[in-house]
Amino acid sequence: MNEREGCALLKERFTAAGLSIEEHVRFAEEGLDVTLDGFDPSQRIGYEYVTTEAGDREAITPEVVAALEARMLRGEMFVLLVDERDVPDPTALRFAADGFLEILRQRGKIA
Amino acid sequence: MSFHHREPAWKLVEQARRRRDEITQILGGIAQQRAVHQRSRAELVARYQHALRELVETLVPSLDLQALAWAAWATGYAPLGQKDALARMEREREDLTARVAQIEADPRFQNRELLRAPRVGTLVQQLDELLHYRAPLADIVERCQHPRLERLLHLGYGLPEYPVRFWHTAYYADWKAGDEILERFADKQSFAEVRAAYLEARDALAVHDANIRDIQAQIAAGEALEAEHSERRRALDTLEGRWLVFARDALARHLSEIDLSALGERLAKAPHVEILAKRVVGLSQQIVYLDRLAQKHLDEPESALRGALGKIERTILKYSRPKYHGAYVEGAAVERLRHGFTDRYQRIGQRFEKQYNRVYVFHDYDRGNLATDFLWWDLMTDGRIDGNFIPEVRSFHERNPGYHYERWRDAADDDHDDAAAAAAALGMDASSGGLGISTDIS
Repeated sequence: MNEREGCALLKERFTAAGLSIEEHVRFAEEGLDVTLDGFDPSQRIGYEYVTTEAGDREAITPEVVAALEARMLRGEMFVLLVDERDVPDPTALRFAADGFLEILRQRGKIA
Repeated sequence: MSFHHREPAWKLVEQARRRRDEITQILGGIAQQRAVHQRSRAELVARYQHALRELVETLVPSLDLQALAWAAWATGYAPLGQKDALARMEREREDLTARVAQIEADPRFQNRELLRAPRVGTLVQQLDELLHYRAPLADIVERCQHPRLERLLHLGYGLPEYPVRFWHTAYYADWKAGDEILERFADKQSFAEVRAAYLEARDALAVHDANIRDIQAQIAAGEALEAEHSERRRALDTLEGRWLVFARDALARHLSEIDLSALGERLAKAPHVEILAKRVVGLSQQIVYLDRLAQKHLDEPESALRGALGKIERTILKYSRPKYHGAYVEGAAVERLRHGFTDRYQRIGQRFEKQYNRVYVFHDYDRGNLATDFLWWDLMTDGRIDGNFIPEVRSFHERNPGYHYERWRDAADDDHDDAAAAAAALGMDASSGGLGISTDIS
């Protein structure tokens, strides 16, 4: 499964959960400047698919991840950080996406 | 036939082909005779080795010092008489005895039945018990095997300190792996329970396996000790026999490398040894003589025939070419090819068989003499065959210009030997030895 196929599956799952996903969204706020693979600006929920193939490991540095996590810990935004090594096939990616969205639902972040 | 007499080339080719066929047939006969010679020679070599063995067994009946000293004196093989030879054997005996005693004093050997008897030995029972208790532990560890298991344990999956946040896909991969492992344990409600059971089993297994390895090592060491004990005991039991064989082999090598005739005077002092030595010398001479006969009557004729065959083949090839159709050649060349080889080689073959069989059937070794320069050829042929073509015989005559052989056989013996040789030539089974193949190629 490559990044394009993975992103398509994620967009489908996130859209099915009622989110309005825009692709390749630049997120620049308070010193954080990153382009996300999928993001709903109004709900501030999205995903970032990290692959070696796309060179994401250079863009999504540990500092960027730390800045994103700080915002997520404060409940300001939620981005599913997908590591291709954790999702070897579509089933595993769907399981992760649905689990993530279910947790947000339980926390009242999405309907 | 005039000098200018000419014949058609085809006649030359025709004669050449006849000679070629004839030579091929004679070479076939020689090959058969050589095969028989090789079998006969192998049989004589076996008899020689047997005779040599009997001689050394008689010379060295035991490792008795006196007997060894006499054998050393009689054969000139000094190492036999040296005390060091037996001292080395005694050193080996001491070493073996000491090691056997050491093993027998070892509790691992003394208590071998108690420790290692099948089913009832204490070590065997301990091992069985450990293996018995190991099985369920190994089952738990085995059931937990999963590519992410070590990661789950390391991160504390299932415990409050598990650090992975839900926005990382690793969180879900861990979740899935944890569930897959948990499904294998119907009696467990959470991964935390599986984790606790796994860690306990793994630690217990490490202790069990260390104990198992220790007991297996104790059993292996004890078995090795028992094997070494058996081996050393066997070495002790066979000590004298082995050293006797060693001494005899060394003496046999020595005797086979020297001229036994040089020992004649000494061996004459022990007639029962001398007669065996005569047999050894006689057999070795028989082998030499048969080889020389084969060389003269088989190798040399074969070489000459192959040379002639080569020339004839070239003649056939040359005059069979189209340019010689209808051509004429010197009549003398055709005439030369009219003379066959068969009669000549038949005579050579008959002479060979007669001489060969006379030497081959010889067995009166006791009539030989080791005390003086002695010509075995004359004894074997009763002086009736000129053996000067044999280098050893020629050399004897050169050393003894006034030598004259006194025949010892009477006419009846000659008739008997001639009859035996004739019987062989008339087709006795070649495997029985001697040359039973006739050179008659007609």
